[in-house]
Amino acid sequence: MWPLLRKIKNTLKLNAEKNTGSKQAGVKDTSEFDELPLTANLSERIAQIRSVMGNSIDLVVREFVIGEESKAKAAVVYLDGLISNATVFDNILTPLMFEAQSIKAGEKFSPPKVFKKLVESRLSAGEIMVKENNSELFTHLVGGDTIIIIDGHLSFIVVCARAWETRAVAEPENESVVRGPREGFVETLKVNLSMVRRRLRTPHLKFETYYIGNTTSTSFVVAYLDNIANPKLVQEVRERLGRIDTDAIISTGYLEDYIEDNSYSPFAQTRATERPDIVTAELLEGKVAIIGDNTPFCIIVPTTFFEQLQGADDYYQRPWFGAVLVRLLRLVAINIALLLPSIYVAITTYHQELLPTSLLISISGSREGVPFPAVVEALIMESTFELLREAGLRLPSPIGTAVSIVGALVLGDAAVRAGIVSPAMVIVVAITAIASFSIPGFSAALALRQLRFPLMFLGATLGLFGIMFGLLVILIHLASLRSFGVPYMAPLAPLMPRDLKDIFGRPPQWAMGKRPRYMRTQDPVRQAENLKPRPPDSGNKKNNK
Amino acid sequence: MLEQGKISIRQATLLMVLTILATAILFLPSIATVQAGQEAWISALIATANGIIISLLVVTLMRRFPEQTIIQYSEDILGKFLGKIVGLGYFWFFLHTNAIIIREFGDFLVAAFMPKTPLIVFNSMIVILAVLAIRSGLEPLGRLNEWIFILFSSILIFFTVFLIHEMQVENFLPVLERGIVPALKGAVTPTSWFGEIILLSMIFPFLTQPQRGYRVAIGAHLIVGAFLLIGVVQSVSIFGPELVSAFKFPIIQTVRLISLGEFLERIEVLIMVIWVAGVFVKVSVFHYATVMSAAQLFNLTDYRPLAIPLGILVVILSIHLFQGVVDLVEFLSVTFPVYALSTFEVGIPALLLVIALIRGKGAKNVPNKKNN
Repeated sequence: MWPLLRKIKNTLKLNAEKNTGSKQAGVKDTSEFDELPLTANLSERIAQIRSVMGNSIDLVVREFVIGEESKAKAAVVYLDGLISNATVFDNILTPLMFEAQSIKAGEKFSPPKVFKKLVESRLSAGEIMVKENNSELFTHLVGGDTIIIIDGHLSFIVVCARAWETRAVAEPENESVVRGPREGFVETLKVNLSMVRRRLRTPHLKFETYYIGNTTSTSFVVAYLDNIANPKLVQEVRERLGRIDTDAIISTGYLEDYIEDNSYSPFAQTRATERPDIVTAELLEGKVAIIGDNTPFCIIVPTTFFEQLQGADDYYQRPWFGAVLVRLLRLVAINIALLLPSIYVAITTYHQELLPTSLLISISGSREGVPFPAVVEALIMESTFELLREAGLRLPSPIGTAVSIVGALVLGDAAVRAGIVSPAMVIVVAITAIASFSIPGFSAALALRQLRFPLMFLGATLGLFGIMFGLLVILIHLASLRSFGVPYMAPLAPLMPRDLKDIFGRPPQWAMGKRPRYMRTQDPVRQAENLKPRPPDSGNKKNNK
Repeated sequence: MLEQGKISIRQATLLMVLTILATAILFLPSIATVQAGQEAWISALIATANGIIISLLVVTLMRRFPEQTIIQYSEDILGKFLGKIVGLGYFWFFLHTNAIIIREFGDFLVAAFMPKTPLIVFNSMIVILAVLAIRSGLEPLGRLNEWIFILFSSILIFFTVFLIHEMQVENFLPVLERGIVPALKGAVTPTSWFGEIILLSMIFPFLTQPQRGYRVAIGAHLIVGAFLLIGVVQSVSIFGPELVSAFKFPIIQTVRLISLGEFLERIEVLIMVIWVAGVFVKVSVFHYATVMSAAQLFNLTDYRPLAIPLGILVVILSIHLFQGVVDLVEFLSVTFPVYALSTFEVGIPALLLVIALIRGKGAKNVPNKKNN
């Protein structure tokens, strides 16, 4: 008993230590290289680097002499492909090899002085650090920095001249808008950060860096506005990120699994987006964004169910006809995507009296000759549709269209003609598919897709009672689900009447004076009151009073 | 403390509303009309007034012990031995009443919609829902209930609006022809439903603002009273007192009359759908009270492990308590009101309050907690 407890205690202690370690943004677990003997001798040091890197083909070591007369030997070390050649040549090699001639003049050669002089007045690159221990050397080297080693000196200079091939900024395909900015995140962290920073020109926007993944050492930036976001929330994000102790985080999708409250829930408790404008809007509501290197998807926490139904477009269109109707339509769409097949099965199996007589006759007429009960028919068609969708997703787009032709012609038309499924069922499946495509949040649509199948079984066995049972199970789950402490169904459950207007509609910008209450922001007021535009006359009258 | 969550005043009020209303709206119009005839609406008003008197009594008791449930403070008031006996009694009362509710629910579904399905299917499914809800705590139930209440009440109002043209005021005439006595008699059974406010004593310690306890109980009773009045008026004005007292579920019969443009017809099954949601809340609250009282009775540190075993027990009890529907209705309209009102809903709380006053137990004023 006691040894076990002690063991648990020790692991806890270890974890706690690791947490504090990774919180100091920077190096993590490269300490194995610290055991290498420190040496000031240039050639020994280069040999050391070469042996650690194991003759990797991208390792470049350029040895040279600083100035002509000083004979101070030095080397520039970098990984090919991660640096900007222009910066290294123009701002490091050229000054050191040619312009550093004057170092000799009037001064006795000693390595520390050369060192000081170089940093102070010779190197014209922007970001320069002086470091000492070996682990930092390798961290910076593999991170893409250029390292200058000078013979006879333990310290080395790190020059940040990172540059690599990136994809051009393009419109995100999954989240396109009719009206609104068309740029999306790319795979390079710095570019993504600049896109957010450009939209939020305030020193309150804070970027905190974390290196996660003991092998990948992927950098993640936690972005928040420190005058709006709840400090408890930011601390919670820090703690959850600090707790991660794993080999590799390849994309933000990996990260989600580690930081969500309930990984087994079909509903995503984080919001993924490629759009910097969405990130900006969410940061302004007091949320925290986690932007990762090597992925265009940024995750935003916390999120609620209804936020996944909001498209960026809603806020760029005219409030009433552009957005309110669309939002109501989406609420209808989630109900259709989740419930329509099961309700169809339940009604045709148990509650035929609910249908108007003429509709009932035409449906039963179309079902005549169909050999399966409604539920089998529904399962066949729904799984076929899911298959088609998966197939279309995996194939390159020219063949993808062929799949849709096969699906539409063979499975739709021919199956009906052959009398295997009824036309009514095809219509139901088609409407369900369209409804599930119209939901902006991909993960929300995915959750509804998964839950559709158990609901069909319940509808087939117990009719509408079964569907209600299934719905209540889902609702109990949703009501108890939390995303970083925020109830997932907020502001509907718990009910926050003030915030409802942004769910069932989209009020004009001047009417949304406060940030959402469930975010418990430091500064709940978004804007001044009385911003409603008035015709000049009535405005004057009011002022005169 | 056993429960970590806190629920707001509004959540508690709505929780009590659905707890009382869910079965009341289906059963009471008929039961009240049997005694009171066309004066059933007066019965509904009297029952609401009675309910408010009861809630004044029980909330006064609760406010003396804002940190405890009735199981705990009955020990404080009566001493360990007698207190445990009273606690055991309440545990039984919650369990038994829950079994009755579940039986009502199953009987209604079997009788009205699915005659071939065995009773145990419906009974166990509603208990599964309750167990799921309880295992995630009181807070999610409070949140979910707000939503269900909106659904429940808006559909009831929707039905009433579409039935206005069927209502005939003549059905209420003559008023008080036989004196006030039938109306008083008709109010007895509804009063026992209103007495279910005693369940508040199990969630009272978890309110964010216990000093506003009166508001919860009285607010809940006013809302329930309003819906009950609408239900009684709707059924009596459409069918007349004789027919209503013959029906088992008069609200369902009225909804059958709705016909919108020959498209929306025969929609009484929708009543079943929202009723399932309402009864789910009711059964969950009762099951919560059962489980919580058992946990406190035996000084357990967590109530969640009890949810499943007691759930199985309540399903078995619900099936074997009664022989059939007739038995159930007889029990509900004759035995239950006397049994519940005289002991657990009014009798024991009144006794506890008097003894607490004499022995000077409990706080006089509820300390104002900080709202956060």
